[in-house]
Amino acid sequence: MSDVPPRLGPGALLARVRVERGLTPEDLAHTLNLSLSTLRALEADDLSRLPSPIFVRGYLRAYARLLLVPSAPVLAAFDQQLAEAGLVAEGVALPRLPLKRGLRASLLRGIFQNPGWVMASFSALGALLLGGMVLGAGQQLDAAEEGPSPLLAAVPLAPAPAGAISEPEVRVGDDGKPELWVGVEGSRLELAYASESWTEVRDGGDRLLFQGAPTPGTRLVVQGEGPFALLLGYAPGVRVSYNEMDVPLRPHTRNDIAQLVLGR
Amino acid sequence: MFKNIRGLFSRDLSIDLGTANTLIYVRDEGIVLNEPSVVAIRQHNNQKSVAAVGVDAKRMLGRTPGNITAIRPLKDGVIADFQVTERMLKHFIAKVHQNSMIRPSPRVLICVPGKATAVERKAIKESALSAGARDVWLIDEPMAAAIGAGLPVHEAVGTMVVDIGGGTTEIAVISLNGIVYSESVRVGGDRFDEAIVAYVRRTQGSLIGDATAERIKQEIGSAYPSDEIREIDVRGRNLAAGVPRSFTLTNREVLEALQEPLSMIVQAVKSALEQTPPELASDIAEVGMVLTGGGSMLRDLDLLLSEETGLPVLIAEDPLTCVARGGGKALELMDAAGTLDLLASE
Repeated sequence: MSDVPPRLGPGALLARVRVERGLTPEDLAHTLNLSLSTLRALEADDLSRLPSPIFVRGYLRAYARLLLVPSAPVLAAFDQQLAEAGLVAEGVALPRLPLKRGLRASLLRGIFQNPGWVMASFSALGALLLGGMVLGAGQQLDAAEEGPSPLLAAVPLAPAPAGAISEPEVRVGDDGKPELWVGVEGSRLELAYASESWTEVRDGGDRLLFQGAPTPGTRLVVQGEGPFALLLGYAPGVRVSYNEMDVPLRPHTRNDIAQLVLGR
Repeated sequence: MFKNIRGLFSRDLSIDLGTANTLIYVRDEGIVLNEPSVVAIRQHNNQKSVAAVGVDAKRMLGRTPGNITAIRPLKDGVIADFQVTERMLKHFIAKVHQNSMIRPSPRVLICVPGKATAVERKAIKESALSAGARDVWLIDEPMAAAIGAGLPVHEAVGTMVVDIGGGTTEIAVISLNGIVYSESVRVGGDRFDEAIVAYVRRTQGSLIGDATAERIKQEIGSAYPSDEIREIDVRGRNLAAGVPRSFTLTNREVLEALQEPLSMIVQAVKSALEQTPPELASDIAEVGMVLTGGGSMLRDLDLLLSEETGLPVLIAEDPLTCVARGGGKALELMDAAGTLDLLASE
């Protein structure tokens, strides 16, 4: 960690998560109803090819929501980028002030009539916060790249998993194909991967049981207390069965992303 | 003359006089007042007096004894009760000037629905003047919403704003500081609440109040189906047994209840897009439309509109206060540039 971590723009951060979730720009452009060129410009953080900042903020927020990552760090990165480009984010809510009286009111009014002072203090604060965040995110990303099993590494920016994820046990199935086993007993959820797909499995207590993108040909077996909440980044490439019964994914799939709860 | 002197001790206000909430924005200070547009009137021997205004009065809605009536003086974005609106405005204006000893006489900018008639506009203006304002200007609500959301209204680029308030939904296409097309439907947050009340009566056989319906909407209401299941426990009066009873509602049921008002908003947005001149429509198709107003905080409303129109849909920052903030910004622009372009005609 001696090197200065590379600074990622908001679009690049999201693009990275998108790639890890196995989604293409076309998927995203289609879901967000954006043109492909706009989406590419967004991921390249190319402000010159994007509409005014208020729109870009909205796109970033929708994009982050689609990938199920919190939007606050992304928007903070965007504000930072704007500040660097010398633009001010319009439409950002003004701080709400309670009604102040007398001397304090005039003092405050003085402060607010001098926007330079406020901008300076805000941007200093923002820079400090963001510096810490970028550093943190960078470290996470680096760790993800250097880790032993990159496919199973946690996604940066993803909400902190509630409870630790136990490493799945790797076995070889009867047919010689690799199998990943999570948990010992309880309801049994099986996923067979024909192509790579980002997968998240949570149990009834919202604990993350499995997170990652197993390689094609792998079988993932999760055992535990139902109901299971399942998220698949590329549903057409996965066959799901729950307690030996096939689960149709089509009704829960939108733009190839499936979200469903099993065993309720 | 006296008004002018008193004006020295007053501030410029921008008021979003909404059906559900009234917001006041003060120059250089931001939003200083955000209270429900509700007034409680006490009747005593044919004499009426104001018992409470704003938050206090809202708590009384539906829970008042015989001699107090809590009323909402605005309906569908326009004044339904002239005198009560005046009393409410007077109360709010005094409240933001609590520190001054002299009776305030501020300059006031009020937002009116785009489709308000000349009579309704005049009523709002008169009401503010009698409440003590020195000068009153009116601005079209969608214009204020667009400015408040930070849209580039002065550019020769079409932008579309959908302001979903308590009583009305305003849809406008704006370019070069002017409204090219505007459409207003009398559907908003209140209609969502009413739809929930009707649905609960139909399916659970129980009667709930508007306040409970609003809570249901805020906690588990959504505009687009999702696999996530959220539930809420509600108590209402059972129609058959006549006693209070509690039951559970899920987000799916609430979504079903909201279908009708939602489809009216979707229809209005679609018809606005049909009426938009092609050059501006292509601008909108590229950048998308912006949602403002409290109604846009309904979960996944942007997804629904995006799916139905095939356009990107964004929600403005702090949508509830967009209109009041936009009015304030318009006041500043007006003073800085001396232009009255942004204001509504009367």
